[in-house]
Amino acid sequence: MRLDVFITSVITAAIPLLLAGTGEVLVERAGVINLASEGAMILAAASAAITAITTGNPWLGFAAGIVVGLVWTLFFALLPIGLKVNQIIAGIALSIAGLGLSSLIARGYEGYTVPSIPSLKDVLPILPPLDVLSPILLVIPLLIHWLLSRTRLGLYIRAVGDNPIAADSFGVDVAVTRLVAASIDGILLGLSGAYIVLVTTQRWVEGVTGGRGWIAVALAPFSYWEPLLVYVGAFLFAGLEVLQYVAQALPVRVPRELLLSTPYLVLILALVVVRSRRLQKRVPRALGVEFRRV
Amino acid sequence: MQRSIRIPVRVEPLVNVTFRRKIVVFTTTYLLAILGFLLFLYLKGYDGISILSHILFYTFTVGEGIRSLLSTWGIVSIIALGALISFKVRVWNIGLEGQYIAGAIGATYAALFMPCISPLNLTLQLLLGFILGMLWAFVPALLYVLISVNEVLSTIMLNYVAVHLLEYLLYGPWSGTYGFPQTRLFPARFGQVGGLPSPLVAAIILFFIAYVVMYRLRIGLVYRFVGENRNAASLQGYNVKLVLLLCFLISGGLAGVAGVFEASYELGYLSPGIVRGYGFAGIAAAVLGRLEPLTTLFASLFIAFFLVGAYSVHLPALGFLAEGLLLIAHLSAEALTRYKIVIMRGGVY
Repeated sequence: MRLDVFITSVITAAIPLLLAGTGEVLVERAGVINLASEGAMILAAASAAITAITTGNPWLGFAAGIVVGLVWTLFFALLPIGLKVNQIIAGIALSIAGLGLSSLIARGYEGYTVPSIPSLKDVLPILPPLDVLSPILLVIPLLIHWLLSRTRLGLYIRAVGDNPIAADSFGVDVAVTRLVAASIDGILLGLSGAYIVLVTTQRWVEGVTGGRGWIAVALAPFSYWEPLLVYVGAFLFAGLEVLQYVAQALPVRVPRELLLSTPYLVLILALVVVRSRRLQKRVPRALGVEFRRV
Repeated sequence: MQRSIRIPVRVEPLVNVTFRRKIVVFTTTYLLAILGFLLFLYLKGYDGISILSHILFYTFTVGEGIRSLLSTWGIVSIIALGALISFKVRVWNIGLEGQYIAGAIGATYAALFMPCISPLNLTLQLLLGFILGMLWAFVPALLYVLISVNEVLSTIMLNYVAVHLLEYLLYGPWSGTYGFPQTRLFPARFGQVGGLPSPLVAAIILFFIAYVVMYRLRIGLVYRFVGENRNAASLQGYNVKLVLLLCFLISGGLAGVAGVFEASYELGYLSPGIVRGYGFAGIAAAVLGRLEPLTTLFASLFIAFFLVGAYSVHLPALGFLAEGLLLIAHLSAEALTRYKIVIMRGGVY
């Protein structure tokens, strides 16, 4: 595989993980573990594919993906935030429902090539053959980092994730702040799902996200809940994903299935490696704890 | 932003929850879930009512349907028991699907490569399935207990690895004639026991044992104590880590046993067809059964009904959707019985 092809495919594979991972970091900094991300991503992917195929316009596909990702994530967020339901079970319920729903709504759209968005090369011939959206999407972790560390909203988000009782007594509405964080996460998940079908794979297949939603959840502890460190994890796992195809061309016969499972195995290893006292200090202290006013 | 946006709704805990409130809330939310399900089918152009009535007719009157419902009930409830055992001590073992696949692989190994004297071979299948299921849970369990690596993530990751392992075996060393991804038929298979499918019989025995251990033996008390309050149990001098590790492993082993029955009773061979999302079905059943043995057994029947029905109309995804919707409905209902939603008027906070 040529180097430039390798790099562009790594970037297109990294962007979904980058977006979803950053979203997860944000929402976990607000104290909510979003395990519904796989469901939100695949539903967004399905609706993006359907919209893009029926209208012939990929931008409408992105819009549909964002809306669906947002709605599904808010649906999830309302269960633990509003009704104090267990976050883990609620997340898994919405992921299961999302997986089932996506394959039902997108029945009959399998195999169609989706209309693609223009590449940077069409705009200016010297640019790499990446899609025009990727430069914007690549800076999103930076933006979220800025949001978390430099803005008032970021301060509120960190406060409700670390000590919701103190934040509440200072007049921060814990529920609203967490919902805002969840809706930003939802938008990013929707973008990520839409990007997978419209750019990375360019067609809808059942289960197209292939566990990227779960990988995104794992990226949060892996990057010490720091948006900028999501770059490292996302590119690492995207690299592993693309290397599978490179390795298949090697003369040494490695079972394809072993290559396919490396990202998951490396992820478990990564979760072990990042376990340390430093990590313990960085965990949002109210992560996974429902807020009740006492 | 904080000063301008205020949601005029408050959620207040209720002191006394009346039985009537429970009934009303649970019936309405479950009905809403079913109505939502039908509405979705209607919007997608399926005739929901006729699908549901077909499913009802198929599962309860056609011989094939009843047989399939009963055996699916058995398999799902064994996985649900595994989910229950780990969830009750707040270990979120989401990798039941992977452990179930590992169990099926173990059963296949025993059936194809071990001495084939029927009762002995069946015992070996069960044993190997149980061990492989435990083994698949072993690494996440150890990591969780020793250095508290998030068990949700590690077990989910191993689900995907298990699917790839299954594919490797079926397309590689264990592939059938012409490279078809299916092993040859097992020489020894589980059959009916007293007119009932063996997975169901096994499930009933396992649930009985689980009930006795949990509520009639002293270790059951320790188990429930750890589930209620880990810190208190640890202060009392109980070995909490050991309890958690054992529960994790047993739940994996039980999922493995379910895999044995799917391969050896349902199919009689190993093929990619065993991956049917039973792991998630078990989780749904355990939560719907409120993590109690008896209710979980019946919740599994409810879930199995949807799964068999979804397969009978060739829309397996319907089963997932129903599971997810029922879970959401159940969780909201549980919360709505315990909390009251108050809409506030005026500026009173």
